[in-house]
Order: sequence, then C-alpha cells, then structure tokens
Amino acid sequence: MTKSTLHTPGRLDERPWPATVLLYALLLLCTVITLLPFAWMLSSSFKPTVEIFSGTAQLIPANPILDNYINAVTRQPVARAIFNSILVAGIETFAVVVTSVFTAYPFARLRFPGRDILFMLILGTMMIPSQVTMIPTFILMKWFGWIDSYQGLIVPRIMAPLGIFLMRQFLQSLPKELEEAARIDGCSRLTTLTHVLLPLTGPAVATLAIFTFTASWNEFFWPLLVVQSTEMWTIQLLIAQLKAAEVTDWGMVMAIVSLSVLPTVLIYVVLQRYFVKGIAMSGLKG
Amino acid sequence: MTNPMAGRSIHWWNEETRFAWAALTPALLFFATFVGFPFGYSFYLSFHDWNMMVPTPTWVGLENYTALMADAEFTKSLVQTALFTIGITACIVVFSLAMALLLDQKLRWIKLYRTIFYLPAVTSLVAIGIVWVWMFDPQHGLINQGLRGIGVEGPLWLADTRIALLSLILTAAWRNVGYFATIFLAGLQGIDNTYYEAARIDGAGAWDRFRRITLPLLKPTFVFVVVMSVILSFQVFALVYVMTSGGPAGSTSVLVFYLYQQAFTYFRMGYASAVGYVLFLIIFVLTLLQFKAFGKTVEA
Amino acid sequence: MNERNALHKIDRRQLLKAAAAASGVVAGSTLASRSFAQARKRTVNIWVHFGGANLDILNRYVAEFHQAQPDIEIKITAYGPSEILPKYLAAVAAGAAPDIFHAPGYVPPDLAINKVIVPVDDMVKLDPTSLKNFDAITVYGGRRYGVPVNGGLGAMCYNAELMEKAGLDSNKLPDTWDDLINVAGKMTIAADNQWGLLLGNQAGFATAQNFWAFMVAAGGDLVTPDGKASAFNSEAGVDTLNFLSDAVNKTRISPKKMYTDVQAWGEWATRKVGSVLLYPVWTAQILNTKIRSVAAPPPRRKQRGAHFAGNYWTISSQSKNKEAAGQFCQWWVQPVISGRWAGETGAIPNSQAAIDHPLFKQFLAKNPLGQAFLDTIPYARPFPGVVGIPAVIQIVSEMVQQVVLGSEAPRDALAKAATRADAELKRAQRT
Repeated sequence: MTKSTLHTPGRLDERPWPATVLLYALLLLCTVITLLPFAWMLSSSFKPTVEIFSGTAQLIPANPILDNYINAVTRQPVARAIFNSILVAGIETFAVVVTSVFTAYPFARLRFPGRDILFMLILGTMMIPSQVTMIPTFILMKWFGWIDSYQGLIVPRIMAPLGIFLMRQFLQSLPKELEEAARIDGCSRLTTLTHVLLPLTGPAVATLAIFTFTASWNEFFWPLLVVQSTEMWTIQLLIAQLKAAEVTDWGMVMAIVSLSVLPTVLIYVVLQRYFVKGIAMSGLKG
Repeated sequence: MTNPMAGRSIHWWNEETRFAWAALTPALLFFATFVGFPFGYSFYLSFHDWNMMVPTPTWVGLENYTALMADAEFTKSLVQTALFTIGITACIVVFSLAMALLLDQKLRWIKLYRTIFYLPAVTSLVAIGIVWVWMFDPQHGLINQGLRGIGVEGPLWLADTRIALLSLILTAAWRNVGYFATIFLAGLQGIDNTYYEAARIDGAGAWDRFRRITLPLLKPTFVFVVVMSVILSFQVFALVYVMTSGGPAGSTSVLVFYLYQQAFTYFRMGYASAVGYVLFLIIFVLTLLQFKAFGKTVEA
Repeated sequence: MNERNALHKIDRRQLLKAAAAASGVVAGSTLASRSFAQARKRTVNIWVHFGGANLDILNRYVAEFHQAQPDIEIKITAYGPSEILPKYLAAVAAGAAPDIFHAPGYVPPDLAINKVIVPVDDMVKLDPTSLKNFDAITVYGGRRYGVPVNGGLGAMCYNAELMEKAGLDSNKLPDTWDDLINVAGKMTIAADNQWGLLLGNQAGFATAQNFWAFMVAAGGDLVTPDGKASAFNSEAGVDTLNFLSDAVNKTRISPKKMYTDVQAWGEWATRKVGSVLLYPVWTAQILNTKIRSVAAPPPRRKQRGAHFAGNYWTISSQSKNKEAAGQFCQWWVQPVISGRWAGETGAIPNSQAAIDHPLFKQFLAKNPLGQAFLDTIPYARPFPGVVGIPAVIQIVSEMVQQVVLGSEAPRDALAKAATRADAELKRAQRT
C-alpha cells in the first residue's frame, strides 16, 4: 500500500516564539557549518597562493584574481578531465538504473527457487571492501584489454547492489493490481515491466540516479589503477595528482577543486525534488 | 503456450521461473565476473606470498593469517578502525536524527536548507579531504583561527596522535550527516500524524511522543542507517589517503589503509589479501549481528 | 495474443544481439586501426612524477628528442610521486608496465632483484665522469639498473632577509647543528607563526630522507654493511631523533604540525620561514618568491653529511621497445643535454663533464643557490641499496613521526622501529 503522508511537521501556531527563534538559530548554525568549507574553498580559488597561507582568514579575498582558474584551465587538462568524468558517470548512471530495474523486478514480484538466497548474496557483495577486489579486477581488465579505456572505467560498475535493493523495495511498494490488470489484458511480463511499471518509477530512478552519479563522479581508487594516460584522467584523479605535485600552487588546486564540485551539485539541485519522495517510497522506513 | 497462472503449482521450472532467471542472467554474469572472480582470486592470493613483481605467487598456506594475529600494527589498525566506525556511526545517528527533526519543522525556506545540508554528500572525498586538511591546519586553518578569535588555543588536530582520528571522524560526519538526515526525514514524514494526535489528546508531552511514537516507528530507518553507516565507514580510505597517509605515527591507520600500505609499500600483496579477507569477515559478522539485533524489519 | 507477444520478444532479443555484435565490431576495428598506426613508429611510454614547470621543460626536451630521432615517439604520463610506485606495481602485476619508469628518489633494489627492470649497462653508456654518488643506488649485483635523469641532494636554504631582521649576519651561515639551532631560534617568532626551521614530517619517503640527511652527519647508518639488519638503533640515531624532536618540542624552532617538504617550500613565499632543507629542483620555486635567499651545505655534527637523491630512468622488463627506450636514455646522458636540463630545472647534472659544460655554467651563474648544492656532492650519500629498503624507509619515517608528533621517547622508538625493520629485511631477502 502507498503510505499516506498524513504527517504534518510541527505546526507553526502551536510553537512558542522562543522555540521558533531557537530553531532558526540552529538552522543557521548548521548552514554555516555546512557551507564554511565550500566558502573557504571558493574564496581561496580567487586568491593568490601567498594570501591563502597568510595568518588571517579572510573569506572575502582582498584582491580577487581569476589567474587560478586561467592557470587551471590552460595548464591542466581540466576540461578533458571533467568531460571524462561526465561521460563515465553518465553512462554508469544510465546503466545502473536500467540494470537495477530489470534485475530487481524478479526479486520484487516473482516467486522462484533460490530467490531469497540470491538476493542476500547480491546484497552481501556490498560488504566486500573494494580494496580487496581491486588488483584482481585490474588483472581482469588486462586480460580483456580494457586498461586505460572507458570500458575499463565503466563496465566493472554497470551494476550496483544498492540500486537493485532500492528498486526492489520500490517495486514492491507499487500496487499489485496494476500488474494484474496488465496481465489479464494479455501483456507479457516484459511489456508489463516496461510499459506499466517503468513509467511509475520516476522518484526511485531519480534517487538512484543521484546516488550513482555522485558515487561514480567521486570514485578515486579504481580510476587511479585503470587509467594510464593523461587523456583518460577523471577529475578526481587530476585533483589527487595535484595534491602531491602542485601543492605549491594551492590557488590553482582550489580552483580545480571548486570546478570539480559543480556538476554533482547541479545534478542534485535539479533532481532533488524527486529525491525525498524517492526515499520515502522505497520503503526504507518500513 | 503455458497458462502462466496454472504452471506455478505444477512444476517449479515454469514460465515465471524462466523469466526470472532470464532477467537475472546478466546480473549473475556480471557479479560472477566482477565480484565473484576477484573475490575468489583474492582469497586464493591470501594463501600466497606475492610482491606483484614476480609472475607467480608462492604458496605459504596459513602463514599470512598466523602472521596477522601476531602483528601489532594490524591489531592497532583494527582497534583504530573499530573506534572510527563506532565514532562515525554514533555521530551520524545522533546528528542526522537531530538534523532530520530540525528539517521536519514547518519553517520558512526549509526546502532550501534541505538542499544545502545535502551538498557535502555529493562532493568528492578527495576534494573534501584537501579542503579539510586546510581547515584543520593548526596555524592557518579556519577552525583554529576561529577558536583563537574567541580566545581558545585550538588543538593540533591532524598533527596530534590522539586527536587525528577524531578529526577524520568529524570530517566524515560533516560529509555524511546531510545524506542520512534525508533518510531519517523520509522516515519521519512517513509516520502517520494520527498517532501524534492521539498521544497529544492523551496528554503526552513532546519528549514522550518522541520516545514512544517516533523512535519505535523509526526502527527500520535506524537499521538501514546503522548498516549503511558501518559499511560506508570502511570507505574512509580516500580520506586517510588524502589527509593523513595513516599518520601521524600510524594513529589514523585504518584497516583499508593498512591493507593498501602492505600491498604497495611493503610489497606484500598476499598478506594484504589476507587482511582484506579478515576485514570482510568482520563486516559480514557485524552486519549479521545488526540484523539479528534489530530483527529483519528491512525485508518488508 | 501470446504468439504475437512471443514474436515481439524475439524481435527485441535479436535487436539486442545485433546491437551487441555491432558494438563489438566497432570496438574491435578501433583497436585494430590503433595498433596498426603504432606499428609504424616505435613508441616509448614513460611514466614520470614531474609536475608543474619541470614537466613543461621535460616536454620541450622530448620534442627535441623527436627531432633528433624521428622514428621513436615518446609518450609522457605524469603522476604524483606517492602514486607512481603503486601504479607501476599494479601495472607490472597485470603485465601492462610502461617502457620507462621514472623511479622517485632512488631505484628500489627490489625491482632489480625481481627482474621487473632490466640492466641498462648494455644499452646506455654513462659519461666516464658520471658522479659516483649514483652507484650505490643504481648498481646491484654488478650491473647498473638506473640511468640518472639528474642528481639531487638536500642542502640548507636560509631566508637572508629574516636573518638580517633577527640581527644575524647572512654571510655567516650555520656550520654545526648547534649553530643551526641558534640561528633558527633567533628567527622564530612563534606568536606570529614565524618559524626558524621547517622540515617535512609526513609519513613516507621524504621524511626518511630528512632523517637520513642528519643521520649521515651524525655518523650513523641505516643498515649494516651486508644489508641484512638495521643499524639505525645507535647513539647516532638517538642524536638525530633528539635533534628532530627537540626542534618541535624543546628548542621550538619548528611548528608542531604534519606537513610535507613541498608544503614547506611553498610557504617560503609567506616570508615566515627561516630555513628549510631544500632539493635543487625546487630552487626555481624559491627564487620566484624574490626573497633574498642563501644556501649552504647542511651543518656538521660528527662530520659533514647529506642525503643524495636524484631521478632515474629505469627500463621495464615487460617493455616491447627496450632498444628505443635505451636510445632515449643514451641521448639523455650526454653532458650537453644533462647540463642544460640540470641548469633549467635547477637540478644537479649527471656527470662532472655536464657540470663543467658551458651551458650549465651559464645557468649556475644566474642561480645564487646552485653552488652550495655542488659543494655538498662529496658528502652526500644515497639510501643504501639493499633489498627491503623501501620497507625500512617507511618504518623510519613513521618512527620520526612517533617521536616528533607523538610522545614516544627516541630510544624506545628506535628500538621498536629496529625490530620491525629487521623483520622486513629478513622477509624481503628471504627469496
């Protein structure tokens, strides 16, 4: 059954005004704590490196300069790295969403031998720390000839247990009647899935898309292993390499870091409307 | 063609099962190749000594595992990992729930706040690590400068062997609280208001309502948050790698980092695989225990 | 209805199969065409850990090499110094190693013993006046495994302006450790975040270098002459650790925080750093700040000592183009190239011939810090070239952290580290 969200947050008229003031103060405090590092990161990106090292913290740069961004874009393959990250994250997100829906459906709606064990096994793979499997997977990539390629970056990540889990929860929360009606009308299982259930998965898809895009965008260790040539670097790799080699040019590093944060923030801001709905409907709460 | 309704009770290999297995075959292939094989190969490696330079590993049987038990550095890593996991999970549960309660209020611009608080979760760990190393700098960092502003001499954070781990916990908490707050929020918003109405009519105060209605009804959410938090806590590798390299003096060496070091600095890939296995077993057992403790309420 | 649906299903499956086949064909043909193109020219893949200005200079030299030898194509990929060795190992394990690996700071003997890299003496003839300092860290079992890109060593660099502000004569640079403590102390104003001495202390190779630099001066050693056991748990070791620890905790000439040498050199521009242990490739960084700086060999303790580092080309045994790689290395060690490269990057040339080369001398004349590094060459020793030294280096760096940032007493830290180092040496040399 769909959960009825009859829950209304604390009603305004019931709250004494000191409480309201306190709540707003808390919100403000949380906002400051959350945004301060971002603010510092942005402001440093507009300062010359010497100023960043100076003893006093100035959030607003005294003489803002664009040099760091210019240096970043001309001296480092920033555009290419961002392009690579977008390509990889985009394809991965699409793949994970599609495979999660198709893989979750049998677990959500069908009965077959081995169903529960298989589901537990798939979920269980989430418990394997990635460092354990990285080298063997890398050797696998060599056998396939996928080192230093987009396939190498993407294919080992085209399915995600978390995605399967989320989709299963979500599909289970949809009313059975819809499917039954479609079956009675003579639709095959596949058609039911694609034409009846899939259109309803909006919120869950948005949720999964945000998770997956973010995880893929932020992935660091696997690209470090698989990527060999500069043209294939993702933005995280670029930042990590800079940390060691260019620490003396902190301004430029901060500029690149700032640029690297943008895409995921944008995706989240665009999709976040569906996000809370998605979590709610995925039955995580019971 | 078989009638889908009738086939079910006669023979287990029916249309439903066929469809299910057909739909699952790609997934099975994928997991077998990219999870099963590496996992198995890694297990195989854990019984060998391999410096990654010679073409064939050398069989050493259980030597890696026995060495593990006697290794003081491993034990230190294990303890530090436990501290980190407990610390981060506690922080997340407490702060995320508090933030969710805060976000659940009817206040102006609440949707904007929700968006803001989620921002750290979409930022890469590498970027966060770099920025927070600066925040924690005892001389130039924002945190100590702020403390100096109110007349307090801040600690050495990442340079202090006793506080470095705590600094990592704070960084990881800063990153994840928003994400888990959204999950708690969804849980809170699914609680039927009529429960609260009834309780209010009965004269229950805010704290009572929280304790007797909110907490129990949030149990499935708690389970999810705790399980995910424990699993995520093992991803602290990127933070350690970027911020401390296991230091100072090994005080932030957590198991995943210790594993990495053993493989790539000490050239002990076999031993690292054994460490990885032990780590997996620990996560596995922990997850099982959590499910037992909370009851399997997630499998609705 | 069912038949129609069945047909519908088949169509879809066929479509998927066709799509898979098509993408396979496309992928295959791209791979084929790429390898065909590569067959015409010999490609040499080089992994380096240069960054910033030095990487730009390297690319210029590569372009020059392309002019000299048009049938060889060099492809450079740059990684951070702490990422390059793990990446290389992973690549070796998977059979995908680059042709040339730019070994950071020294050539790990483990790579040579395990036949990951090949001896280069057949392919590359070094200049007869090559610096002898390279030998200990490139020659194993009588064969040379590393071609010097350039030499390097740690010398002291002082901020002359700060010295004068503190009432010191910037022409009289510290000669002994006590002098250094004295001078650095006068340049320290803790309340203003100004520190007399900055020595990186993050766990890893660089911190071990700093320890080794002072250890040599204290008359100590890292390992026994036969390389089978550690030797740093000695009075010289105690002396060195005391110096490093006191700098932060007692004499307070260094800040108590965790940082790398690179960060320290980056902070030079703030005019709040009195002195650092500098490596010549970072000279440009220092000079760019336009702060009046002077350099001198590291101060004495029992003797003069310094750490000799450098960069080395090594050729992977998995390389399919060893000859071409060798040709590049041979081109590189010519005095004219080495002298010019060292001059431009601020490094130490490979050979006396390169040092004497007019091109290097030109750069030296414009570099106020350069002579001090050359003066230190006779006293500089590289890490001992024994199998297992990478592990010892890591252990030593952690030991330094334990004493400087932790609260471990030097003698205890030395004893514990020695036990660990002995175990690692034994294990590494087992085969």
